[in-house]
Amino acid sequence: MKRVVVMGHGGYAQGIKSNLEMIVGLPPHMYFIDLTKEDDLSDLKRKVDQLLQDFSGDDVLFACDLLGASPFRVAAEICAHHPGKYYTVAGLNTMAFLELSIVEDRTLSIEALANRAVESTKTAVARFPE
Amino acid sequence: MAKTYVRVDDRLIHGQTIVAWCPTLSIKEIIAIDDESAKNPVLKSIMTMGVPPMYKTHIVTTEEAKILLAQECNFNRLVIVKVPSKLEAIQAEIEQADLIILGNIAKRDDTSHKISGATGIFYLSDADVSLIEGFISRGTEVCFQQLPATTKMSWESFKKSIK
Repeated sequence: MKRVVVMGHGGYAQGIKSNLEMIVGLPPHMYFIDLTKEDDLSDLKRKVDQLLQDFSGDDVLFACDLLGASPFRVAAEICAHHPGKYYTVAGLNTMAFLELSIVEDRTLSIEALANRAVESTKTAVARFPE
Repeated sequence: MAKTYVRVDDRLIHGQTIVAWCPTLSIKEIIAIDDESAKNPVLKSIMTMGVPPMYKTHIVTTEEAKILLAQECNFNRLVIVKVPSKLEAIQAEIEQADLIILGNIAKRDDTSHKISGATGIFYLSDADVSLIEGFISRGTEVCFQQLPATTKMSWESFKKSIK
């Protein structure tokens, strides 16, 4: 099974959750963790470790708000210990989250899913008028 | 003239450093000192991924930092350590620093002071306080400040609060 863990600062994850809930309904394979003002890095790590305990053997994609920031670092460090099974992406937009919420193609590897999310984000950024 | 700023922040290099502190202080070079991260290429690459290439970034051991800090430099530098106690090891090298900014410093076993006059998380031990007092007595300015836009608290106000 493939799981997606959304992580960010100050309500980001809850915001993405509400956003998806309204558009497509709550996807059962997606999880949402926020770093609050009161949390330090070890609190965040604890929250993530607790969640991962239930994921034995599953592939995981972490989707973090900001490249290089604390949630990203926590996720990336975990990925380094699970090569090929865990990936981290950062800065996704709604279009990419919507695609991740569907995961219609069960044959898609977790790496391909990560790549697709990054590409979808890039193609869904636009300006009007052009 | 080139300035050296020192930041104590247990997250070392992170988003707030890059998007807020570096532009505010016109930083060109970042020297992050952490022996564990410096010796681990994975941690190092994770940490530098979020740093734009316009900043010259070093994640180094204490010994490597001493060599870097001894070199003449004509642009502003930001030295980052995770905990106040690390300042002792680089005391001579940062003696000329313009400002020591205490940032995010989480609670540890020996921390008996919780600072509440500024926005953010700041915990200091008695040993941290006396170490920083040493910098103050040698003329270095020290303050508590999480972000350039949040409340800054001087070391003096903190000292008054614990008397």
